[in-house]
Amino acid sequence: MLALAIIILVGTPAAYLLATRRFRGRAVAITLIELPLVLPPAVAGVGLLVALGPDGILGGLVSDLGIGLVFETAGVVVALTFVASPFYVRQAQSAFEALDPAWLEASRTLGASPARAFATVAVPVAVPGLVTGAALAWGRALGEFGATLVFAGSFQGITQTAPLAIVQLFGSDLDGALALSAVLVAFSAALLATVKLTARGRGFGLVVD
Amino acid sequence: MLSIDRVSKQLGEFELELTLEVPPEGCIALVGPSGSGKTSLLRSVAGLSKPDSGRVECGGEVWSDSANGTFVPPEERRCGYLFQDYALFPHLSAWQNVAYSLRGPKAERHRTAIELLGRFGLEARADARPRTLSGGERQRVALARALAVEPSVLLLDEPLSALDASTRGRATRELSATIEAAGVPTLLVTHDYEEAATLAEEIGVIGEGRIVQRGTAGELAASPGSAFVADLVGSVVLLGRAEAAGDAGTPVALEGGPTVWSTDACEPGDVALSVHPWEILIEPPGSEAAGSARNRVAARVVSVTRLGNRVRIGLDAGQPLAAEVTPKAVDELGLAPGREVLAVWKASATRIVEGIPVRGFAPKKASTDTEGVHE
Repeated sequence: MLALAIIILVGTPAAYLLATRRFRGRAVAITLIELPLVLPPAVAGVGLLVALGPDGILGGLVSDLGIGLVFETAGVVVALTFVASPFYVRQAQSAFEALDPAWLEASRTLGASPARAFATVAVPVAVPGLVTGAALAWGRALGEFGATLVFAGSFQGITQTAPLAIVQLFGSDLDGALALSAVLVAFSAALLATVKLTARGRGFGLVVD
Repeated sequence: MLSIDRVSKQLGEFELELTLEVPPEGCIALVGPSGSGKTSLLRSVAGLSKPDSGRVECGGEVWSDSANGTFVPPEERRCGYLFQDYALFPHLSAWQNVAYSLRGPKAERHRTAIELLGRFGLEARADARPRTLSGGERQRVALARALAVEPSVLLLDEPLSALDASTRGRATRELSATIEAAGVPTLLVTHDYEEAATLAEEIGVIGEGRIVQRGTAGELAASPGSAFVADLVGSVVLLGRAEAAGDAGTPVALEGGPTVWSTDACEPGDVALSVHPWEILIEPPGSEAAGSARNRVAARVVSVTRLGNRVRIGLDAGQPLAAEVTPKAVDELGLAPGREVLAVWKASATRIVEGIPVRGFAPKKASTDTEGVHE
C-alpha cells in the first residue's frame, strides 16, 4: 500500500510531464523508467543491493539518514516501488497523452495556473487510465518475488510478502500454501473486477462520439 | 484597445508577422485558408504560445514584449477564448464548465453560471455533460464560459465552423449580439469569408502569416487586391494573357479559351481576372448578342447548387467558372449538368486583379475541407 502511494504521488506528475512536455533527455528518462520492466527481478534486487545496500554506492547516505533498508520492511517498499512503478507511469503517460491539449489551454485562459490545470482537468479526465495503471502496479507489487527476496530477504512479519510466504509454506505445509494462494487469487480477481467497473463508471466518452 | 505590434513567430515554412489594432469595442476578422497562421496569432495574444518577437498590449497593459522579456501568463490575461471545437471539459457539466473560472462559494458560482447559461437559453441544460449536448449547445456553453471571466478581449477561433447549416443562422445572430454586448475588442479568425463579413466591421485577409489586404467586406468584394483575395471573397478567378489595351479596353486571351475584354488597364502579360458570379448571365447556346455585355464564352454546366433563393451554376469554360441565377432561370433554360450554354458578362464587370497568382493560391473549397469538424 505504501509502495502504491509513493508510485501514485510521484508517478502521476512525472507521467504528466512526460506526456505534455518535450524536453532534452525525455527519451532517456522514459527508458530509465521502463528499465525495471525488462530487468529480471533478481537482477533488480541485486541492482538495488549494489546501489542502496550497506556497501552500496548510495548506501552510506541511506544509513547516515538512519534508514535501514536491507532485510527491513522499508526495503520491501523500495523494491516494490522500483519494480511496479513502470506499470503505473506508462499507463498514466498514455492516459495524459490522450487528453485534448485544448482542454488544458482552455483551463489556462480561464485563469488556472499550470498546476491547477493539472489537478482540475488533466487528472480527473485521465482517472480511468490512472486507476487501471494503479491496479496493474498493485497487481505486480502483490506478485513481486525476486527483487524483494534478494534485496529485503524473507523474514516473517518484517519483509515476508505473500508470494514469499507461499513459497516457504510450499516446502512444509501444502494446505497452507494453497489457502494463501486462494486468497491471492480471490483478491486479484476482485481487484481486476473493481478496476473494470470503475473505469466503465467513470468513463467520460473520451472516444469522441 | 488590443494592439498587436510586429508580432512574429516561425511557423514551419513561413513566418507569422502581423501588426494590428482592434478598437475598444470593435470586431476585426482575419480570413484566410487553414495553415495561414490565424490560430497561431490568437494563441500568441492569449499567451498560449510565446511570439519570437513583437509586442502585445491590451487596455494599456503590456502582455508580452520581446524587447524587455515581459510575458504575462495566460491565466492572468483574462482572454475570452472560444476554441475551434469549443474544448469543453468532458468531466464537468455545462454549468460547471461555465463556473470553472469563477471563485467563491459554490452556491454563488452556481447562480452566476446559471445566469450566464440563461443568456443563451440553456438553463435547462445546466446539468448536462458536454457529450450529450448538440453542436449548437456546445458552442453556446463555450461562449458562456468565455464570458464568465469578464474578458478584456474576445478571441474567437472559427466560432461557427463546427456547426451544421441548420443551426448556423441562429448561432450567427446570437454571436453577433454577444460580441456587441461584450463591448470589448474582438478578434475573430475564420476561413469562411461570409462568416467574417456578417460578424466583423473590418476584415483582414491573411495569407502565409501576413495581412494581404484590409477593408470592410464591401471594399474587399468590390476591389480585391489579388487573385488570392478575389477567390476568398467568392469571385470567379480566370487566368489569361493581356494584350495591348485599345479604346475598347484590354483584351485578355484566356488560358484554354477565347478572348474576353476588361475595362481595366494593364501592361501586356499574364494576368488574373476576377468576376462576381452574380454578374455572369447564362444564355442558350448560339443566341445573338442582345445587350451590352461583350464577353460571351461557350461553357458546359458542371454542377447546379441551390443557395437560399439563388442557384449557383458551376461551369467549365476551359477554366472553372460560376454563375448565380434565379431558380426560375434554371427551369427556363433547363440547366442541368452536361448542358451547353453561353456565359455572358460585361467588360466593366471584369477586373484585372494582378499579374501572376500569388504563391499558396488554393481554391476556397479545398481549405474548407481540411479544416476538420470533429464530430
